[in-house]
Amino acid sequence: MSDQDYVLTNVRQAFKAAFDINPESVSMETSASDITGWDSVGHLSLAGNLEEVFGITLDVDDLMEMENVRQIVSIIAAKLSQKV
Amino acid sequence: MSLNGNDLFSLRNKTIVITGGTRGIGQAITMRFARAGATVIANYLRNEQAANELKAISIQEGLDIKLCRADLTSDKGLEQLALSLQEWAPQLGGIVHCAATGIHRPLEELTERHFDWTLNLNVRAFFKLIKLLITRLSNGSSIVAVSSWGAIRALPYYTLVGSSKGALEALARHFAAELAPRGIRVNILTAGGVLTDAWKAMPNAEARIAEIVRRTPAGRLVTAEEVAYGAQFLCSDAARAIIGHTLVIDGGLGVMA
Repeated sequence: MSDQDYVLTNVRQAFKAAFDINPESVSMETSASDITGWDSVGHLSLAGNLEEVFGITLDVDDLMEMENVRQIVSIIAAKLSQKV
Repeated sequence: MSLNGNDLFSLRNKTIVITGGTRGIGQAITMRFARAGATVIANYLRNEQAANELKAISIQEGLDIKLCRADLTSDKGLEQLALSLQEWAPQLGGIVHCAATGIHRPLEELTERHFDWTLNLNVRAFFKLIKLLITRLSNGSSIVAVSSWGAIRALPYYTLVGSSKGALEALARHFAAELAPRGIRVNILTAGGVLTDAWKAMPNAEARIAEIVRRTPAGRLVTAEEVAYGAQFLCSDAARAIIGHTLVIDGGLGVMA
Protein backbone atom coordinates (compact mmCIF):
# COMPACT_ATOMS: atom_id res chain seq x y z
CA MET A 1 0.00 0.00 0.00
CA SER A 2 1.46 3.39 -0.95
CA ASP A 3 1.80 6.16 1.62
CA GLN A 4 -1.07 8.04 -0.01
CA ASP A 5 -3.28 4.95 0.07
CA TYR A 6 -2.47 4.47 3.74
CA VAL A 7 -3.38 8.06 4.54
CA LEU A 8 -6.56 7.96 2.43
CA THR A 9 -7.69 4.70 4.04
CA ASN A 10 -7.37 6.19 7.49
CA VAL A 11 -8.84 9.54 6.45
CA ARG A 12 -11.88 7.59 5.34
CA GLN A 13 -12.16 6.09 8.81
CA ALA A 14 -12.01 9.56 10.32
CA PHE A 15 -14.83 10.64 8.00
CA LYS A 16 -16.86 7.59 9.04
CA ALA A 17 -16.38 8.50 12.71
CA ALA A 18 -17.20 12.17 12.15
CA PHE A 19 -20.16 11.87 9.80
CA ASP A 20 -21.37 8.26 10.12
CA ILE A 21 -20.98 7.65 6.37
CA ASN A 22 -19.69 4.79 4.23
CA PRO A 23 -15.91 5.31 4.08
CA GLU A 24 -15.88 4.08 0.48
CA SER A 25 -17.96 7.11 -0.49
CA VAL A 26 -15.00 9.34 0.33
CA SER A 27 -12.66 10.02 -2.57
CA MET A 28 -9.80 12.42 -3.09
CA GLU A 29 -12.24 14.84 -4.70
CA THR A 30 -14.76 14.79 -1.86
CA SER A 31 -15.46 18.23 -0.42
CA ALA A 32 -17.86 19.74 2.10
CA SER A 33 -20.56 20.08 -0.54
CA ASP A 34 -20.66 16.29 -0.85
CA ILE A 35 -21.26 15.46 2.79
CA THR A 36 -24.25 16.51 4.88
CA GLY A 37 -22.94 17.70 8.20
CA TRP A 38 -19.55 18.83 6.96
CA ASP A 39 -20.12 22.39 8.11
CA SER A 40 -18.06 24.39 10.58
CA VAL A 41 -19.07 22.14 13.45
CA GLY A 42 -18.55 18.98 11.44
CA HIS A 43 -15.16 20.30 10.34
CA LEU A 44 -13.93 20.48 13.92
CA SER A 45 -15.28 17.04 14.64
CA LEU A 46 -13.44 15.72 11.59
CA ALA A 47 -10.24 17.50 12.63
CA GLY A 48 -10.43 15.96 16.08
CA ASN A 49 -10.88 12.50 14.59
CA LEU A 50 -7.99 12.99 12.17
CA GLU A 51 -5.71 13.96 15.07
CA GLU A 52 -6.70 10.81 16.95
CA VAL A 53 -6.42 8.46 13.99
CA PHE A 54 -2.98 9.72 12.91
CA GLY A 55 -1.53 10.88 16.23
CA ILE A 56 -0.86 14.36 14.84
CA THR A 57 -1.63 17.94 15.82
CA LEU A 58 -3.55 20.20 13.46
CA ASP A 59 -3.24 23.94 13.91
CA VAL A 60 -5.61 26.69 12.82
CA ASP A 61 -3.82 27.14 9.48
CA ASP A 62 -4.22 23.44 8.74
CA LEU A 63 -7.93 23.63 9.48
CA MET A 64 -8.33 26.53 7.10
CA GLU A 65 -6.60 24.68 4.27
CA MET A 66 -8.52 21.41 4.65
CA GLU A 67 -11.18 22.16 2.05
CA ASN A 68 -11.33 18.77 0.39
CA VAL A 69 -9.98 15.26 0.91
CA ARG A 70 -7.04 15.81 -1.43
CA GLN A 71 -5.86 18.73 0.71
CA ILE A 72 -6.48 16.77 3.89
CA VAL A 73 -4.37 13.86 2.62
CA SER A 74 -1.62 16.25 1.59
CA ILE A 75 -1.55 18.01 4.96
CA ILE A 76 -1.54 14.75 6.89
CA ALA A 77 1.15 13.21 4.70
CA ALA A 78 3.32 16.25 5.37
CA LYS A 79 2.72 15.98 9.12
CA LEU A 80 3.54 12.28 9.14
CA SER A 81 6.76 12.82 7.22
CA GLN A 82 7.82 15.35 9.88
CA LYS A 83 7.27 12.74 12.57
CA VAL A 84 9.63 10.21 10.95
CA MET B 1 -40.07 59.65 12.55
CA SER B 2 -43.53 58.14 12.61
CA LEU B 3 -43.76 54.67 11.18
CA ASN B 4 -46.89 52.92 10.03
CA GLY B 5 -47.55 49.25 10.60
CA ASN B 6 -46.15 48.28 7.22
CA ASP B 7 -42.87 50.06 7.78
CA LEU B 8 -42.18 48.96 11.35
CA PHE B 9 -40.80 45.51 10.54
CA SER B 10 -39.60 46.19 7.02
CA LEU B 11 -35.90 45.87 6.22
CA ARG B 12 -36.16 47.79 2.95
CA ASN B 13 -33.13 49.90 2.08
CA LYS B 14 -30.98 48.02 4.59
CA THR B 15 -27.92 46.01 3.60
CA ILE B 16 -27.20 43.36 6.19
CA VAL B 17 -24.31 40.92 6.53
CA ILE B 18 -25.20 37.51 7.90
CA THR B 19 -22.28 35.28 8.86
CA GLY B 20 -23.05 31.60 8.46
CA GLY B 21 -25.91 32.76 6.29
CA THR B 22 -26.34 29.81 3.96
CA ARG B 23 -27.36 26.99 6.31
CA GLY B 24 -29.56 26.33 9.29
CA ILE B 25 -30.65 29.34 11.34
CA GLY B 26 -28.41 31.62 9.27
CA GLN B 27 -30.09 30.56 6.05
CA ALA B 28 -33.53 31.13 7.55
CA ILE B 29 -32.45 34.62 8.64
CA THR B 30 -31.03 35.34 5.18
CA MET B 31 -34.30 34.34 3.49
CA ARG B 32 -36.49 36.21 6.02
CA PHE B 33 -34.43 39.38 5.73
CA ALA B 34 -34.37 39.28 1.94
CA ARG B 35 -38.13 38.72 1.84
CA ALA B 36 -38.49 41.70 4.18
CA GLY B 37 -36.75 43.84 1.59
CA ALA B 38 -33.12 43.78 2.72
CA THR B 39 -30.08 43.33 0.55
CA VAL B 40 -28.40 40.41 2.26
CA ILE B 41 -24.76 39.51 2.09
CA ALA B 42 -24.67 35.88 3.16
CA ASN B 43 -21.25 34.76 4.30
CA TYR B 44 -20.31 31.08 4.25
CA LEU B 45 -17.20 28.94 4.07
CA ARG B 46 -17.59 25.27 3.48
CA ASN B 47 -20.67 24.15 1.68
CA GLU B 48 -20.68 25.48 -1.86
CA GLN B 49 -23.74 23.44 -2.75
CA ALA B 50 -25.86 24.97 0.01
CA ALA B 51 -24.71 28.43 -1.06
CA ASN B 52 -25.62 27.74 -4.69
CA GLU B 53 -29.03 26.40 -3.68
CA LEU B 54 -29.68 29.56 -1.71
CA LYS B 55 -28.62 31.66 -4.68
CA ALA B 56 -30.97 29.70 -6.95
CA ILE B 57 -33.90 30.34 -4.61
CA SER B 58 -33.04 34.03 -4.44
CA ILE B 59 -33.06 34.29 -8.23
CA GLN B 60 -36.35 32.41 -8.42
CA GLU B 61 -38.01 34.75 -5.91
CA GLY B 62 -36.31 37.94 -7.07
CA LEU B 63 -34.53 38.44 -3.75
CA ASP B 64 -31.36 40.45 -3.35
CA ILE B 65 -28.94 37.97 -1.80
CA LYS B 66 -25.24 38.15 -2.46
CA LEU B 67 -22.89 35.35 -1.42
CA CYS B 68 -19.51 35.93 0.15
CA ARG B 69 -17.28 32.97 0.79
CA ALA B 70 -14.77 33.93 3.46
CA ASP B 71 -13.11 32.33 6.48
CA LEU B 72 -13.86 34.74 9.31
CA THR B 73 -11.17 33.20 11.51
CA SER B 74 -8.45 34.48 9.20
CA ASP B 75 -7.31 38.00 8.43
CA LYS B 76 -7.36 37.09 4.75
CA GLY B 77 -11.00 36.02 5.01
CA LEU B 78 -12.00 39.22 6.79
CA GLU B 79 -10.17 41.20 4.13
CA GLN B 80 -12.12 39.34 1.45
CA LEU B 81 -15.38 40.21 3.17
CA ALA B 82 -14.36 43.85 3.48
CA LEU B 83 -13.45 44.04 -0.21
CA SER B 84 -16.77 42.48 -1.21
CA LEU B 85 -18.63 45.00 0.92
CA GLN B 86 -16.64 47.84 -0.61
CA GLU B 87 -18.02 46.74 -3.96
CA TRP B 88 -21.59 45.94 -2.88
CA ALA B 89 -22.39 48.11 0.10
CA PRO B 90 -20.25 50.92 1.42
CA GLN B 91 -22.85 51.45 4.16
CA LEU B 92 -24.36 48.67 6.26
CA GLY B 93 -27.69 48.52 8.02
CA GLY B 94 -26.76 45.56 10.15
CA ILE B 95 -24.69 42.52 10.98
CA VAL B 96 -26.02 39.19 12.24
CA HIS B 97 -23.31 36.88 13.56
CA CYS B 98 -24.68 33.39 13.10
CA ALA B 99 -21.52 31.51 12.09
CA ALA B 100 -20.53 29.05 14.78
CA THR B 101 -18.56 25.91 15.34
CA GLY B 102 -17.59 23.59 18.17
CA ILE B 103 -16.51 20.17 19.35
CA HIS B 104 -19.10 18.18 21.24
CA ARG B 105 -17.18 15.91 23.62
CA PRO B 106 -16.79 15.24 27.35
CA LEU B 107 -14.10 17.17 29.22
CA GLU B 108 -11.56 14.32 29.14
CA GLU B 109 -11.55 14.43 25.34
CA LEU B 110 -11.33 18.21 24.95
CA THR B 111 -8.01 19.92 24.28
CA GLU B 112 -6.81 23.50 24.31
CA ARG B 113 -6.80 23.45 20.52
CA HIS B 114 -10.50 22.55 20.49
CA PHE B 115 -11.00 25.50 22.83
CA ASP B 116 -9.08 27.83 20.50
CA TRP B 117 -10.81 26.56 17.37
CA THR B 118 -14.25 27.07 18.88
CA LEU B 119 -13.67 30.50 20.34
CA ASN B 120 -11.84 31.70 17.24
CA LEU B 121 -15.01 31.62 15.19
CA ASN B 122 -17.71 32.00 17.80
CA VAL B 123 -16.21 34.94 19.69
CA ARG B 124 -12.98 36.30 18.24
CA ALA B 125 -14.41 36.51 14.70
CA PHE B 126 -17.35 38.56 16.01
CA PHE B 127 -14.95 40.92 17.78
CA LYS B 128 -12.79 41.32 14.66
CA LEU B 129 -15.80 41.66 12.37
CA ILE B 130 -17.27 44.53 14.39
CA LYS B 131 -13.91 46.30 14.57
CA LEU B 132 -13.51 45.86 10.82
CA LEU B 133 -17.00 47.05 9.84
CA ILE B 134 -17.81 49.60 12.54
CA THR B 135 -17.16 52.59 10.30
CA ARG B 136 -19.59 51.22 7.71
CA LEU B 137 -22.48 50.85 10.15
CA SER B 138 -24.93 53.69 9.71
CA ASN B 139 -26.91 55.47 12.42
CA GLY B 140 -29.94 53.27 13.06
CA SER B 141 -28.14 50.04 12.20
CA SER B 142 -28.39 46.87 14.22
CA ILE B 143 -26.00 44.13 15.28
CA VAL B 144 -27.31 40.76 16.43
CA ALA B 145 -25.24 38.02 18.04
CA VAL B 146 -26.91 34.65 17.73
CA SER B 147 -26.45 32.71 20.94
CA SER B 148 -27.94 29.61 22.44
CA TRP B 149 -29.35 28.25 25.65
CA GLY B 150 -25.99 26.71 26.38
CA ALA B 151 -24.62 30.17 27.21
CA ILE B 152 -26.35 30.05 30.59
CA ARG B 153 -27.21 26.37 31.06
CA ALA B 154 -24.98 23.31 31.18
CA LEU B 155 -25.87 20.95 28.34
CA PRO B 156 -24.29 17.57 27.58
CA TYR B 157 -21.06 17.82 25.55
CA TYR B 158 -21.70 21.52 25.02
CA THR B 159 -18.86 22.87 27.18
CA LEU B 160 -16.93 24.69 24.48
CA VAL B 161 -19.85 25.96 22.42
CA GLY B 162 -21.79 26.98 25.54
CA SER B 163 -18.87 28.85 27.06
CA SER B 164 -18.14 30.54 23.74
CA LYS B 165 -21.75 31.71 23.54
CA GLY B 166 -21.49 33.05 27.07
CA ALA B 167 -18.44 35.05 26.03
CA LEU B 168 -20.21 36.16 22.86
CA GLU B 169 -23.17 37.45 24.88
CA ALA B 170 -20.91 39.39 27.27
CA LEU B 171 -19.06 40.92 24.33
CA ALA B 172 -22.37 41.89 22.69
CA ARG B 173 -23.58 43.59 25.89
CA HIS B 174 -20.42 45.64 26.17
CA PHE B 175 -20.67 46.60 22.51
CA ALA B 176 -24.31 47.53 23.13
CA ALA B 177 -23.36 50.02 25.83
CA GLU B 178 -20.51 51.50 23.84
CA LEU B 179 -22.22 51.78 20.45
CA ALA B 180 -25.70 52.96 21.49
CA PRO B 181 -24.59 56.63 21.61
CA ARG B 182 -23.56 56.25 17.95
CA GLY B 183 -27.03 55.03 17.01
CA ILE B 184 -25.89 51.43 16.57
CA ARG B 185 -27.97 48.89 18.48
CA VAL B 186 -26.51 45.58 19.62
CA ASN B 187 -28.68 42.72 20.87
CA ILE B 188 -28.55 39.00 21.43
CA LEU B 189 -30.86 36.43 19.91
CA THR B 190 -30.89 33.14 21.71
CA ALA B 191 -32.74 29.99 20.83
CA GLY B 192 -33.65 26.82 22.66
CA GLY B 193 -33.79 23.56 20.75
CA VAL B 194 -34.06 24.43 17.05
CA LEU B 195 -34.81 22.01 14.25
CA THR B 196 -31.70 22.15 12.02
CA ASP B 197 -29.03 19.84 10.61
CA ALA B 198 -26.73 20.92 13.46
CA TRP B 199 -28.21 18.09 15.57
CA LYS B 200 -26.45 15.58 13.33
CA ALA B 201 -23.12 16.59 14.91
CA MET B 202 -24.35 16.14 18.49
CA PRO B 203 -24.07 12.94 20.50
CA ASN B 204 -27.36 11.27 21.53
CA ALA B 205 -29.29 13.74 19.40
CA GLU B 206 -32.53 11.76 19.26
CA ALA B 207 -32.79 11.32 23.02
CA ARG B 208 -31.88 14.94 23.67
CA ILE B 209 -34.44 16.23 21.19
CA ALA B 210 -37.11 14.05 22.82
CA GLU B 211 -36.18 15.44 26.24
CA ILE B 212 -36.34 19.04 25.00
CA VAL B 213 -39.74 18.43 23.43
CA ARG B 214 -40.98 16.87 26.67
CA ARG B 215 -39.85 19.85 28.73
CA THR B 216 -40.93 22.61 26.34
CA PRO B 217 -44.39 24.06 27.06
CA ALA B 218 -44.98 24.47 23.33
CA GLY B 219 -44.41 20.72 22.98
CA ARG B 220 -42.03 20.99 20.03
CA LEU B 221 -38.72 22.32 18.85
CA VAL B 222 -38.54 25.86 17.57
CA THR B 223 -38.12 26.23 13.81
CA ALA B 224 -35.29 28.15 12.20
CA GLU B 225 -37.90 30.43 10.61
CA GLU B 226 -39.26 31.35 14.05
CA VAL B 227 -35.77 32.34 15.16
CA ALA B 228 -35.49 34.40 11.96
CA TYR B 229 -38.68 36.31 12.86
CA GLY B 230 -36.96 37.38 16.06
CA ALA B 231 -33.87 38.45 14.15
CA GLN B 232 -36.01 40.52 11.79
CA PHE B 233 -37.67 42.25 14.72
CA LEU B 234 -34.31 43.13 16.31
CA CYS B 235 -32.99 44.55 13.03
CA SER B 236 -36.15 46.50 12.26
CA ASP B 237 -37.20 49.99 13.31
CA ALA B 238 -39.76 48.41 15.63
CA ALA B 239 -36.89 47.52 17.96
CA ARG B 240 -35.26 50.95 17.95
CA ALA B 241 -35.43 51.28 21.75
CA ILE B 242 -34.16 47.74 22.39
CA ILE B 243 -30.49 47.72 23.28
CA GLY B 244 -28.37 45.07 24.98
CA HIS B 245 -31.36 42.76 25.22
CA THR B 246 -31.42 38.98 24.99
CA LEU B 247 -34.43 37.87 22.98
CA VAL B 248 -35.19 34.27 23.78
CA ILE B 249 -37.00 32.08 21.28
CA ASP B 250 -37.46 28.69 22.89
CA GLY B 251 -41.13 27.72 23.01
CA GLY B 252 -41.13 28.39 26.76
CA LEU B 253 -38.34 25.95 27.66
CA GLY B 254 -36.47 28.53 29.72
CA VAL B 255 -39.28 29.18 32.18
CA MET B 256 -39.49 25.58 33.31
CA ALA B 257 -37.83 24.51 36.56
